[in-house]
Amino acid sequence: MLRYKIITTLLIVYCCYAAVAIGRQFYVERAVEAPVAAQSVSKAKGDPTARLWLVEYLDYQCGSCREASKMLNSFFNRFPHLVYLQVRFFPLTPHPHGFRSAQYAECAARQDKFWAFNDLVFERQAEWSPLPDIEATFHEYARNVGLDEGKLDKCLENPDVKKYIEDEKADGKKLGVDGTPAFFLNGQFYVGRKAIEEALGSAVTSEEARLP
Amino acid sequence: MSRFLFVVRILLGVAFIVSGYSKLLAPFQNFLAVIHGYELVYGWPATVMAKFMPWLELIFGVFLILGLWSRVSVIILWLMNAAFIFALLQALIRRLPIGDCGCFGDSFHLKPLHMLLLDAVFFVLFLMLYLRRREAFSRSFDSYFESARSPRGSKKGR
Repeated sequence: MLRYKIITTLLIVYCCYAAVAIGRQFYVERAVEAPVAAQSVSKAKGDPTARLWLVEYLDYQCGSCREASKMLNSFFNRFPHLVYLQVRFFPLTPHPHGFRSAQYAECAARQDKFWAFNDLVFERQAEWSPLPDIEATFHEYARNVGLDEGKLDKCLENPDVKKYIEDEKADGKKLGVDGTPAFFLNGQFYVGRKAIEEALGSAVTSEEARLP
Repeated sequence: MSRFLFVVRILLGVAFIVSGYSKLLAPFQNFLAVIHGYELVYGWPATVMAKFMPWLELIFGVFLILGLWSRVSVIILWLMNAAFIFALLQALIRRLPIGDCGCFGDSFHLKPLHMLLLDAVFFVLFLMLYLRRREAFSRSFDSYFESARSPRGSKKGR
């Protein structure tokens, strides 16, 4: 009877494996490289021909994304020609201001002021994150970075902007993104600040590290 | 009581199956980030955990429901439950930001304290299952194989 028990066990384990394999067909479409959409160029910085191509999925209300942003800025300042960084939005459902802050950032991108706005929003995250309403605060940030408020207000009401962010998030989900910050470094998937920091550290050669 | 224990067994099995299966559908890097968030395990041990723990949850969750290798299943899932409680407790004490950033997926979100309470309830249920396993697994693959092995029970000396 032990033999039949073992055969039954193996059959059940195989069924579990098959269920996972079938489920994965429907859940995640893996991409070797994250393509650059024309609209996203304004949310990119660095040399497009750089050896390291980094795509980041973020949520502005995410504390780990703030930490990752600081780390990436530091890395970028140290190795500006080594990496091409592109940001994509992935506002998380539990974050009440995640989607709205992404709308503001996308509107800043459409006025070519994305990075200044991005950095300011992360820098002041602790101030605005607990607020019940961020409109006044974010308009102040918009003024600080020199955005045209008339254009900003029109942009915020534009349903295409909302759809753009939703599509960006949906694309991220198809690639397996489920939390933030999530990264694709030359097509390899990493989640969390620690993982990408280690990956970037490993990606820099000793010669590159010695350069001033 | 045996009906109640049977329901407990099914509920616990389903909980672990859902937990394991949802992790296995997504790339393992998502769960790896969760493990890193608890700041207990890093490097290759964390990667091994991220890749294999969901399989243990799924497979032993199924075994628990079917009542196959029931004692081993209860012990393994109970140990995992105890490990989750320890990890959550130390994260709460150290005030780690594990409730942030959709660490348990974007679609399902439970605050760390609520997760801890749920895991504590599971711990008690596992204790009941272990102490009353004969009743809890009276209808199971194990009891079928056991009865098939000795269909007339123990009749020594006859």
